[in-house]
Amino acid sequence: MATRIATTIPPPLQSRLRMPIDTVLFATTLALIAFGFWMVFGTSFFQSMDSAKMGNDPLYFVKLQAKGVIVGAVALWFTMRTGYWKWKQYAIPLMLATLIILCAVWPFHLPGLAIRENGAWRWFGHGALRFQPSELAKVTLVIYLAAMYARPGLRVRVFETGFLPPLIPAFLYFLLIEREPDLGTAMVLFLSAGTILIVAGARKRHIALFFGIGVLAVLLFGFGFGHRGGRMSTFVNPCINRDYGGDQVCNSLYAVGSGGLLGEGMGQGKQKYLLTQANCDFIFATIAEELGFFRSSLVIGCLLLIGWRGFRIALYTKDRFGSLLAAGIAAVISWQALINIAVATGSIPATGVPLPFISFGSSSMLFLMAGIGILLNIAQHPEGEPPQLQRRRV
Amino acid sequence: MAGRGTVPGETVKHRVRYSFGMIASLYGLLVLRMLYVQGVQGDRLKAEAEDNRKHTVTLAAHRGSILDRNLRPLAQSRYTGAVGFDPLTLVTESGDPRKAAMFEKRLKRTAEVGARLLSSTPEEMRRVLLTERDHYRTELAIRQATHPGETQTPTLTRADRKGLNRFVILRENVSLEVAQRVRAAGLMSIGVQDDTTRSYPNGRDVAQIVGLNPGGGDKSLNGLERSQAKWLDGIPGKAVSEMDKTGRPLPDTRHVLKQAREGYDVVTTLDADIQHLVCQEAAEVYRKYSPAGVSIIVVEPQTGDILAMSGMPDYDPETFLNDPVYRNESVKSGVLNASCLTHLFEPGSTMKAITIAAALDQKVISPERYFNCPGVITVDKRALRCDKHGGTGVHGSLNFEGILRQSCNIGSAKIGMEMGATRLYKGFENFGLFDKLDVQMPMFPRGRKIMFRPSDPREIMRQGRIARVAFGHSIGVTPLHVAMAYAALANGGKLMQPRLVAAVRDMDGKLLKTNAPKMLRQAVSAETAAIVERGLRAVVTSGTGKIAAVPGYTIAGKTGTAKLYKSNEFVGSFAGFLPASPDVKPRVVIYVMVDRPKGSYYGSDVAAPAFQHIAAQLARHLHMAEDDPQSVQYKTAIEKRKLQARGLAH
Repeated sequence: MATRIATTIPPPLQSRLRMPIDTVLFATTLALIAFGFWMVFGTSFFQSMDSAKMGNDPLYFVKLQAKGVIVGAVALWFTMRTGYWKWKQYAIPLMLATLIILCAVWPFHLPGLAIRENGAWRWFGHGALRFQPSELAKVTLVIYLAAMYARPGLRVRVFETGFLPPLIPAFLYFLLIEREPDLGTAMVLFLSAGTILIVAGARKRHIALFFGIGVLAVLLFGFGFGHRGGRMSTFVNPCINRDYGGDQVCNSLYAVGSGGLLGEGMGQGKQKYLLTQANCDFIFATIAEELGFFRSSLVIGCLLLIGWRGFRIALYTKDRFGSLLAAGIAAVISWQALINIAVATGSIPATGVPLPFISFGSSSMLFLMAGIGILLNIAQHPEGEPPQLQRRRV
Repeated sequence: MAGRGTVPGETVKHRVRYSFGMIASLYGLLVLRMLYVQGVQGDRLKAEAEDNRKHTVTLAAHRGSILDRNLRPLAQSRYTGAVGFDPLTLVTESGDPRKAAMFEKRLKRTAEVGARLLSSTPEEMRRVLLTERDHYRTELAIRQATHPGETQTPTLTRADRKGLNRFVILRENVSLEVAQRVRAAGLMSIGVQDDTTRSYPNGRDVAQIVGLNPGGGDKSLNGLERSQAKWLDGIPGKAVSEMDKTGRPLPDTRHVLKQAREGYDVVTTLDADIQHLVCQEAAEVYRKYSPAGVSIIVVEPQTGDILAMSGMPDYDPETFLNDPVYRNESVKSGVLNASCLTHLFEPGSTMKAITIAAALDQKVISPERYFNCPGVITVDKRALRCDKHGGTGVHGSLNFEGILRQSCNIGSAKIGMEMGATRLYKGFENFGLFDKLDVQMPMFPRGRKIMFRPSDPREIMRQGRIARVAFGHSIGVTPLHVAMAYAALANGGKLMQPRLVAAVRDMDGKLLKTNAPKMLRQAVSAETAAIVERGLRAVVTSGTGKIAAVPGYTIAGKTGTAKLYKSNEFVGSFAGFLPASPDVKPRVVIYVMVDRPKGSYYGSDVAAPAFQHIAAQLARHLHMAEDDPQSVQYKTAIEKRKLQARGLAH
């Protein structure tokens, strides 16, 4: 409610309607990032210390993460200071640019720019200057869909002309990212797009159709055929099927279970030495192991808090674009966190997505922080674009 | 409103709440799921997780060495590692050109460094590596092809690789130095597997005594390796700790650490040099007379130490371990046993000295008592003859010295019959001939009282038996028994416990257990021993054992020729000691026994020369002072003359 009763604030020069910063959202984000540093260190120092490639530096991953956070902070500053309505006019160019980059990585494997790692084409860039286009897509897709469904005159309840056309590039996104392969991120994008559709007021039967297609696709791509065929059995009994790909999930379950209610104590986790993605996709396993049920529930609470602030901003923003944008960004963060935790606790079949703000990964950090910046900006302008600026532009 | 849905209004607002509600309830479900995993399953998962991380590593214990009296190794464990190669590290999973280049680089480096380490050429190394890699790849492909439903993608799972050899041996038996260099090179594809092998530097010389430990583990076949296993074997330690996926222990997770207790060294009384020359001599006799067996023992009389012990036929430990045919034959023919300890035989005339010593000690006869030898007498309706090289000899009237010198059967039979069974038995018993002579070797029999049971009245009645026993027939002993009895004569009548294991010490040389020389009993008085020694000297100076004489030294000894029961085969032997001057302590007792030689069979022909060779070499080897009075006088005179010639003496 604090953001609404802010009438006593002296009006700044550029906008009389500008509200103070959403401190709860901002502080929670910073707290999670700080906590993330500690967890990244705890889950990676032994690995980097043993690796000559990483300079035997226990802080190797922490330093990389710090770089991501610094770039992310700049991005956050920039997006927070930029009126969110400006993104509307760049929605389609951004969408197209992202599509081009995604295509460059897969299926074109653009030499010199597309980078393959661990058998997947997920990186774009050259040398150290690189990022994951799928992370960029999380932001640009949300901006694009919000801009499309907020367009005056678009009738979202009409299937052919309103509901469907903006979704065509979205499905291209899903396909390109799924084929990298990065099923986890594709799922996050899909669920977020679905959330935007719900918030945008689409018809229930259309939404049902959308999710139906998603479930079908996941069944087809995820469990239907190919090397992921054994996923279902490894999901049900990861520890029995250790040799058939259940190893990671089993180790993660062991970690979560070992934590018990009170946890092993910070830095006392053992399973992190066995988990191959301990500092990224499975960082929550170590959190649960070291903190225990009560305190790791607090971490979940913080993530929920960010989601709540996001949807709250969506609720109190009068501008439809801002509302959809805020809901979309909150959805991306929430779905990503949900999938990550669900995988770590063995609640859904394994698929790798980083835990927002905590997992190691500069791309994820950069675009998520940019997203938080946008959210903060929307929160500052509950009335939408200030009228004097609208006038000037006209 | 409902139809347009294009402006933000009530629809969107409740949809935002609905969306957040959905996400929040999913979070709630996850928290419940965590409560279930952590709260309900927590303890079970924690135990399982710890079990899964826990690994036990056995810390092998080094097996102790067997040493000779000068602490030279007779058996020792040495490091033999195997250098192997992991083909998986060179198997490319995909057609990615960058990966392929990386693998090619790795292959090149492995070939170059590996060739340098294992003294091969890079080309050869590369060829071997590629062959093995291709073999591995083929095996893997076969497995993937038979994998149900998994033909589409070339993803390797752990199950696919299970059972495939990831340690292709490139070199075996590498030294510790090479192993360390390979480890230090830090190659991804080449590793070392540690192992130890038992080596026997003295080969067949000590093979029967030391025995064999084929696997290098705690399973030994024979000899000291087997009987001293409780000392030689260390106690393996173990470490239980939690490990990460690469097999490194996790910090602060050591559950159990029990260091291995290294095995102890066993110090024997053997002298590797003496053992060698004795074995050479035994082999020479074996070659020359093709007997069924040759046994030679060298004993130090004062301590009972067995300095050397050889039994032909013997076996070669290296061939035994490597050649299964040879192994089978060796086991069947029983050459694994030390025949000096296990071979029971009728010793023959060498026992006359024992009979006489017992008779003198028990005052049955006096040194001046003469016995008449008519060449043949009849005892128990059976003729008993004296051999005189090729026919029946009439020795005439002889005292004990004459009986020994001429090896007169009838004389000693008469002495025996005069003693009677009980006293003769008592005399033999005092010399330890019926004792279990424990030298801490596996499988050895006691001397047998076969055909000689004085407790049985009928036996006592039968004078024929007593007569035969008196000159060494109708009684079963081992070569060690004879040697120890002669050692008692050489040691002023004191019978010593034969000693083969002198001490046990740990790796640092600290003595843990010492077997001090132990006197079993005073077999005969020192005076009696001196009198018998006089008779034994006469055997070598002017009797049947002349051939055993060594210039410069006085030798006491006795020949022995025993005819086997119901067969025209013989056992020739010679027992003796030196230096045997009255006032000098004998240094060594040597017993040579030739079982059923072909051609010549007299102890004086087959065994005495061997004794002579060994005695002559031992005299030099042990730096014995010359004690033959004639030789000493002669040499002193020569020395004096030399000095006189140089004007240094009167």
